Amino acid sequence: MNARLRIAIVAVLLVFAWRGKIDSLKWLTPSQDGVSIQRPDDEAMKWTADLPVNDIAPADRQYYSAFYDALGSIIRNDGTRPNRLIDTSEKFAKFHAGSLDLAIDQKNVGKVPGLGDKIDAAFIAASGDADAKPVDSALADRYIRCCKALAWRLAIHGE
Amino acid sequence: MASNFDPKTAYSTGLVGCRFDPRAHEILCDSIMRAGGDPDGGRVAYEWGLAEAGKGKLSTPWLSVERVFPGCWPGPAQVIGDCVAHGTANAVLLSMCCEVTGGLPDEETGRPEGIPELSPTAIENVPISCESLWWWRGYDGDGWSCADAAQVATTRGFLVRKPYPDLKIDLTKYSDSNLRLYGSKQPNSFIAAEAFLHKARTATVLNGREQVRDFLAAGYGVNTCSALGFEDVRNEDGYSRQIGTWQHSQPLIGYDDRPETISKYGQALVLWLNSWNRWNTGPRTVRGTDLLIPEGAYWSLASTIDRCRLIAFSSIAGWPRPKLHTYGARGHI
Repeated sequence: MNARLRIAIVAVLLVFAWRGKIDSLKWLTPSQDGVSIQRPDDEAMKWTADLPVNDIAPADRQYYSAFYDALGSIIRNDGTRPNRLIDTSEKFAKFHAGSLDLAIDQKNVGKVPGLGDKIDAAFIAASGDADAKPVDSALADRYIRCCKALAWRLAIHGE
Repeated sequence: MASNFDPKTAYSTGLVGCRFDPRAHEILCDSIMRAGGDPDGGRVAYEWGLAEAGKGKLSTPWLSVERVFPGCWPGPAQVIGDCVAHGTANAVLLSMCCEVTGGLPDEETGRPEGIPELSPTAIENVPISCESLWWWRGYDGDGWSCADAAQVATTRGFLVRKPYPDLKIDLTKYSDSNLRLYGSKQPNSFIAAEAFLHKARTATVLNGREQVRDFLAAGYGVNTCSALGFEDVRNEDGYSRQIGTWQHSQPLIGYDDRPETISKYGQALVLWLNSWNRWNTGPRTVRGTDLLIPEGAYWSLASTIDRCRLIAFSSIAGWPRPKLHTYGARGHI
């Protein structure tokens, strides 16, 4: 992973931490949780329909929700840069994995069986396939919508 | 790679790297038509809706190559008079990279294509092996015709820079020894079969600067054969004057048709890429931008195009895109 990608991952974590999620795993109401998510469109809801949210502890749901909300915001900001960091699906996958590695304790990885596969499946559905390919503005927009849909599903108030 | 060959001196003192062969040109045009293509670049531009695609614009297709294979240009310096093979390989590479970055579906498979996995050394030596084209010229000496090379690229195909253990060759590095493997002796059927998997499915003959402008704007690589030499220094805009005579082949990899450029130089500029590694010096920043042209490249007047024979390549039969094993969540959450 190159230095620029590492910096971007730190950016995700800063957004994530700034929203008060890393050390404050409290029961939050939608209006208090700092997660600026809105109900996703129907297509994005379908991408994330299989997420096993009922198997996830409420505190963890809020944590993951904030993570994906932050990830979506970073992808959106990246799209405004003249030299985008995330210009291929491989880089997005590395960025996603690296951010999760830094945000989640190793001992907690795999706590919800199948969650990683379902989240991957949501991104594959958003992308149309699992091909390694360039990320143009249309695909970046689908990634953002997928992140926001994940944030919605994972949030306590999600469906 | 130890070589005493100094390409600038050799070409400046009369080495004939490229030559015009009217018969080869006829055969190429016939071959293009038999494969369902059209050798008339003007008609292709009209039918494909490319006409005026680059008018008034800065066209930067070289950036697609640098995005897909960072650091692949300028590539190694020629060790013999094989410029036509270098020029053809680089023009095909440009078309291939533009197809990949554009996400265009392959004409036959209907699927967007990817790139071969190559080592950093392979990429530094230019991903498409020019030797694999050069081997089909049919004799052992230097020099070739652009039409013949285009015929090889569109009918025989090419290999990439990697080891081919089954073929008992390693093309990772451009080398004199690999260049001399075949010539008067034709490559064997195993090499032919491997190369046939990856080729430029069609080519077309361009005529004049406007066609070059529009094909480059649309992401098609163009190779040239000409008798034009150029100075080895670039001015503040990366521009080099045409001076002297080289019987040489070089690809065109960019075009600047912006009004401000035409105002300064009296006409548009075209970006040439030489195959002599870092043979020239001077600024590389594109006027009015923060973009860089590759090492070894230089802008020159678009009127130079009018004294070239020009062939553009399209529809590269490339590599299937690899599948992602994970989108990043599996094993990390």
